[in-house]
Amino acid sequence: MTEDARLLERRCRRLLLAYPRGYRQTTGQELLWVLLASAPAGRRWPTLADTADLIVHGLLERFRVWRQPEGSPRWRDGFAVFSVAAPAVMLVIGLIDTTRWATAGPVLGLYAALAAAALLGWRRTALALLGLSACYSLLVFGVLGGLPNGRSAEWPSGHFLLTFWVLEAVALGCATQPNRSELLTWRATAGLTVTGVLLGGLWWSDGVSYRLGWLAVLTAALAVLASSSRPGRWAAALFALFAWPYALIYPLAPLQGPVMLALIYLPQAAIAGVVAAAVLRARPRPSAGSLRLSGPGRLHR
Amino acid sequence: MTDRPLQEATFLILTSLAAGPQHGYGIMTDVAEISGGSVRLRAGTLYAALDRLREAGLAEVDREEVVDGRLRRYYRLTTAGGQKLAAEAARVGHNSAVAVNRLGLAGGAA
Repeated sequence: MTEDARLLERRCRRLLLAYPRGYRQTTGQELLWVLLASAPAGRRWPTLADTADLIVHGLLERFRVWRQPEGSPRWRDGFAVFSVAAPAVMLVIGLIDTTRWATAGPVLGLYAALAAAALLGWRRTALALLGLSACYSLLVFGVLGGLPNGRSAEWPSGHFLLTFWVLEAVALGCATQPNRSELLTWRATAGLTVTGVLLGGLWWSDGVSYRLGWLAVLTAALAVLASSSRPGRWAAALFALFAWPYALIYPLAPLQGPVMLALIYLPQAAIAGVVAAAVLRARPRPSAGSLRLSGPGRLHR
Repeated sequence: MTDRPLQEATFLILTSLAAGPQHGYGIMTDVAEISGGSVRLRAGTLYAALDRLREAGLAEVDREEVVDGRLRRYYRLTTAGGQKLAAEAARVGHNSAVAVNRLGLAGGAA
C-alpha cells in the first residue's frame, strides 16, 4: 500500500466515525473498501462530496438508531423527557427575566403549549409550535429589534435560543414511543397548559413578586408530579440542570463578569456533554447475525 | 416502500442487482454505467439505500468474501425485489410510452 493510500484510508476511517459504532462494526469495513476502491490513484483526501455524504448519512444513521423502539430505550426516553422539560424551562426562564432572555410575551404561551404537545406525543404539533416560537423570536428580536412595548432584548441570548431550537427539534425527532403515561396524566397536562398560558400573560405585568409566586406554584406542582415516576425524576434532574444558574442570577448579580457568565453557560456545556454522550453511546441497529464482523477486518474506534 | 414509486437511485440499484449478485463497488460502477454516467452514487448514499432495500425485503446479502484482508459483501435481489422492479419498470415504461405517443401526436415538439 502506498503512502497516499494509507493517508486516504486513515482519513476515511475518521469520517466513518460519523456513523454509530455498531454500524461501523457491521458495515464500516465494506464502506471503507468502496471508498478506497472508487478513489483514483494518488488521492490523499476524500472528496468534499464524499465527506459530506458520509457525515450526513452517518448522522442520519445515528438519528435512526435513536428512533428505533428496540434501539436505545434509555436515550429515547431521555429525549422524550428533554422534549418536555426544555420548553418548560424556557417558560420559567422567560418568567424570571423577560428582558434578559428574550423569551417574553406570547412566546411563553407557545412554550407551554409546546411542552404539552411534546408530553402528549403530538410531535408534529410540537415541531410546528417550536417553529412558530422560533419565527416569533427571530421576527421580534432579530428584525424589529425589540418588544412592542419598548422593552429591549439582549441578542447574545440568541445563541441560547438557537441551542434550544436545535436540541428540542432533535429531541422531538428522536422521542418516539416514550412512556409518557408515567410522566403526567392528560388532566395534569391540560392544567399545566392553562397555567402556562396564564403565566405567558404575566409578561405584561411588572410585578416580580407576582411572577415569582406563580413560578413557585408551578415548580412545586412539577416537583410533585415528577417525583411520582422514574422518568419524572429524570425530568426534574434536567430541569435542575437548566435552572440552577438562573436561580442565582439575582443573589449573584453584583458579581457580573466572567463568574456570572460561567454560571449561566455551564448548563449549556452540560447539555452539550449529554448530547455528545448520547452520540457516542448510540447502540447499533439490529441486523442479521451474519452481518457482524469479527477478526482482523473489524473496525475499531 | 413497496407501495410507492421507487426513487431513481433505488431503481438503478435494483436494476444492477437484477443481473446477479453484486458487491457495493460493483453496484456503484454498474449504476453509473446503466445511467450513462448521469447517476453517480456515493458510498454513504449507496449503503443507506441498500439498508432500506434490505429492510423492505427487496434485497438481501448473498455472500461475504474477504479479499486482501477486506470484507466484500455481495447483495442479491429477493423475489419481492424482482417483482417490485418488474412492476416499476412496467409503470415507467407505460408512462414513457404515453409521453412518446403524445409527443408524436403533437408533431414531435421535442
